[in-house]
Amino acid sequence: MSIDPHGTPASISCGEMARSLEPFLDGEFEGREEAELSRHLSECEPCRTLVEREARARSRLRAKLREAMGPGSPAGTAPAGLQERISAALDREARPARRWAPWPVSLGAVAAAAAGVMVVLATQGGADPLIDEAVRKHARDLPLEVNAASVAPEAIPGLLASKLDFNPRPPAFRAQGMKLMGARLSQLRDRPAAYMRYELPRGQVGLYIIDDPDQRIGGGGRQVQVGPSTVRMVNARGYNIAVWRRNEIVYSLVSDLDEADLVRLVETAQAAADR
Amino acid sequence: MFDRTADRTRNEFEALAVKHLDGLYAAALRLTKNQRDAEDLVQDTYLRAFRFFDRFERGTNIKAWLFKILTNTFINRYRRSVKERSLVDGPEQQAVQERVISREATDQAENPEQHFIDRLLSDDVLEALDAVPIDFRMAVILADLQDFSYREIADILDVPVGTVMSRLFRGRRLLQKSLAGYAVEAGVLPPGPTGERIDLEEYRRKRNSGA
Repeated sequence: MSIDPHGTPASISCGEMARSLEPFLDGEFEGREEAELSRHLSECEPCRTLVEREARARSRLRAKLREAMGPGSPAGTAPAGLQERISAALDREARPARRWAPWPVSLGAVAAAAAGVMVVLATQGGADPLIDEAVRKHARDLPLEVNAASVAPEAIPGLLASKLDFNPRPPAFRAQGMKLMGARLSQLRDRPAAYMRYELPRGQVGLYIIDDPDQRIGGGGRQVQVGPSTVRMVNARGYNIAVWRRNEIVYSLVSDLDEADLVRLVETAQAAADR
Repeated sequence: MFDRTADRTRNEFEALAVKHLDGLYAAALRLTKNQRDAEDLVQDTYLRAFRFFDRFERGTNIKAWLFKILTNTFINRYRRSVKERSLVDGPEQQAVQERVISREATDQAENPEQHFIDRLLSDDVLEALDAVPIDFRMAVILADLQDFSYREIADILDVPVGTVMSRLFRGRRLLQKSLAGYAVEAGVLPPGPTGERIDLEEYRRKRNSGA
């Protein structure tokens, strides 16, 4: 909007000028409003002094903020690696179609796993609260909401899926005498999870299936390469637990098997997943 | 075929969004106050933005959109764990102001020119900023560091423009006083006239009816 130079634009009082100072300096006024204020400033020295002083203070503050956390400052620069980390997360997000593609694994590790040799990748200490919770809940032997006696085992994941926002597809274990007993909805560290209980010739195992798209679960335990997966082996409260990931899904298998038997069990599922 | 479409979307998203990484991280660091949470917050922000990218109107302000997602993600996921509640009103804010700002610092902050600010170290500036209650801190960061307009800040924080003005006004004032506090500690000096705020809507109505 333009001003009629011959008209008499409403004049502004010094009080109004002072009260408009902040938005004026922030560039919030345009057109006529801005022109009115500027006109007042051109005619009123005390206000001009006030505005100029405040403008200097403002730019001093802004300059200091930029120096402290603006572009190029340590507090204003994303750490090295963050962009790559985000890119990798976006890759996983962008390619649901490749969900079950095998993970890149060194040939040596595959060969060693096939030969039944465990390749230990790393060992990390520290209790994992997720595993601790998984063991406690497994040990409490809570009732199963869906029972394999009344529902076909193949239908169980679908029943749970309707209550979860992911599909809790269990790995296809190929172990002699292993039977799915039933399942229930669970929660681990405030995340919805599916829990499935299996019967083995000796004892039981509990499998947790947790959706973890942003990879918040991890760390702790001894890392072992089993087929295409890196499996974390943890011993807690007398149970051996194997934790592994398939893209966005984390599996946590709580068992009273000894470690070698547990690894073999996980291995049967890895082999099946690769078919 | 599917993958190619996905790649295109992905490339478009990255081309638009990645250049705001540093700015988002800087804001995230002041919100979470530690590097690890700040990195997680920024990563979550990008993932959510990507998931909702189809709802982003092409050609509109992606920077403001990303900051809005950052703010919402922080409130939903991190704020509780940081144990930092809104201190906008009431006695809590009073307490914060009194704790952060000594009498002496308040007097110094009334000085007209703020030369003392030039002599502060960046670490002091960041500490002074972190001492400002979070809602005010965020308004100052969005306005004075990211150069968003009142309207954009209102959209990002999901509050009316009047609230933005009031948070910004009080946030800058609190920051000046907080800085003065650090300046006094460091043996340095301060200023700032205290103008009252105006109600922008009211102001405009009056101006327009008068014309």
